[in-house]
Amino acid sequence: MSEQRHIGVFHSKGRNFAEVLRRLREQEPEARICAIVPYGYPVGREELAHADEVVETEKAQYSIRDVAGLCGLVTQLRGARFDRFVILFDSPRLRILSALSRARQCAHIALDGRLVSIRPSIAGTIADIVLRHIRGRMLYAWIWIIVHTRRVGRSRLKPGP
Amino acid sequence: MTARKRIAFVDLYFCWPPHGGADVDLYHVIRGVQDLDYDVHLFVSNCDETFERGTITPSELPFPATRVDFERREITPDVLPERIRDAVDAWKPDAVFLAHGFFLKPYVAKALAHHPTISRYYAYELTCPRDNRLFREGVTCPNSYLATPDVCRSCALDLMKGDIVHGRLAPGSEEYVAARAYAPAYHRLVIETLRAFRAIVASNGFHKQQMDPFNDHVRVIPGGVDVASFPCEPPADKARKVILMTGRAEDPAKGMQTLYDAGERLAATRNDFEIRVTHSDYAIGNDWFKAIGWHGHEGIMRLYQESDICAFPPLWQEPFGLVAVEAMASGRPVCASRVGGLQGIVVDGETGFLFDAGDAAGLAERLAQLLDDHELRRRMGTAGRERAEAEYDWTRLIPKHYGPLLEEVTR
Repeated sequence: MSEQRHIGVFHSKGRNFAEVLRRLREQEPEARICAIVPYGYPVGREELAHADEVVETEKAQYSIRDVAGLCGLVTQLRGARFDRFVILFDSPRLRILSALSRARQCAHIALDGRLVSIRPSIAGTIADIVLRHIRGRMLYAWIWIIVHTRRVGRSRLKPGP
Repeated sequence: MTARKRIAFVDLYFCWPPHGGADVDLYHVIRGVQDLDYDVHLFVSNCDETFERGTITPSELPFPATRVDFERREITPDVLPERIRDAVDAWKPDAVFLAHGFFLKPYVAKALAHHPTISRYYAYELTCPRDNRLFREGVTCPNSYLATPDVCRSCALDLMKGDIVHGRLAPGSEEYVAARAYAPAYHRLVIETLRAFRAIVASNGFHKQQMDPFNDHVRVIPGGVDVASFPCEPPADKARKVILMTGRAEDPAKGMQTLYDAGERLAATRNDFEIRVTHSDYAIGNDWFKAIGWHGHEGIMRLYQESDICAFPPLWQEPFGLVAVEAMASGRPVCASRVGGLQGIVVDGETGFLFDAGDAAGLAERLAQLLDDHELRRRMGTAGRERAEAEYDWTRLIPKHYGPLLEEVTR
């Protein structure tokens, strides 16, 4: 008999968590689904009905500067020994968290609701962040110059006939 | 026998199931216009790679629809308007109803300018390129992109800065960059298309005033609800009356803090009430203030039924105020800020009370009045339901507002 797969779903704001859990349950009917929710999240709500277990993180929010807090979160995730770790957005920070979770597989929920496997690499993600920053700063500088040097002025703003 | 007139509805963001009030509004308008004996067809731009753009299955909609599919790199002024135009032209409409869209909407308007076009605005898309809200630092912004474009361009860029610099473009900032909405030429395009519209539909008089100098055919049409779908049972008698605030309570512009401050004033002298807000941070709250999280349509209807009074204290010029109409349809008295569309929905002293935005003392006073007077709550709730049926039910709203509008535009 094969062992039941243990899937952790990391809650993020901005996504319908109930819908994500429901779809995951449809795709993985035999798995043990664990909803990882922020501290203070009311456990037992209807939206968690499709989770087999609910784990609260130690804090309601984590900041990138809160190294001790983040270490605690990573330890908590590793302790759960997930076979699959699911994040709701494919953002650099969540990718790094996925990589640190030591789950055998990682996935994110695509915009159309599909579960997409990812192979998060910490070095690759950091390189991606740096490149994006460089490109972004150059684009911003270009737009800033246009906005602050090429004025529309008020002369064109008279109401029409 | 004359052929039925053909109205093409074009929306750059429409999703069904809906992702927001604009989707719900357009859905009901199209169905209603169909019932007015027009041929209708919805054209939606879709991109699966970006958030909330055109996720529909045309066969599941109760009216004909075409989904024009785009890749992310095609969401540009050079590609998107042209392909939308080709799809619309092939259907040969008598008029176009241009619904939801942000920075690419003026380009689409220009591409469709050979058709008589009605443009619908749901928030302040034309006047606030920052975030369509005309709300900064806790108050209504006195500027308008139409009148003070340079101030607004700079302000919009301030907001977009984080997204652009970090290279994590959200739909709004991505469209801002793609549409070159920062350039002076974009402002000229906005003015040019605004003047060319055969009619413009605004959600409230405040927005209408801002557009009036540029087009003589701006009219206000409110949103609606399906009143019959809202149960309207009298609230059960309970020791602690429930004051409910629905909507995006996390958004500071929605004024939850005003309601909290009003609650604090009430709690100093009484304990016969509980405030419930649809806020997803469950950690906030105390004995009399509860965050109850996000709820779907069915859940919201239940919340209204469990409530005794509804409060909507936005600080910004709320474009319409659908939540107030929903509460009225549920037969509940409404306390709302005197802003935007809410001042046209709530009849002060009849269906509820209006108070000045941010005035917690004023809100507390009115809530106390309602908490103390069962008969007043009942009377205002009944009047609210009647007003919702008479003014905001889709079956009456469409013939009253959209019938004359379409007749005029397609004449």
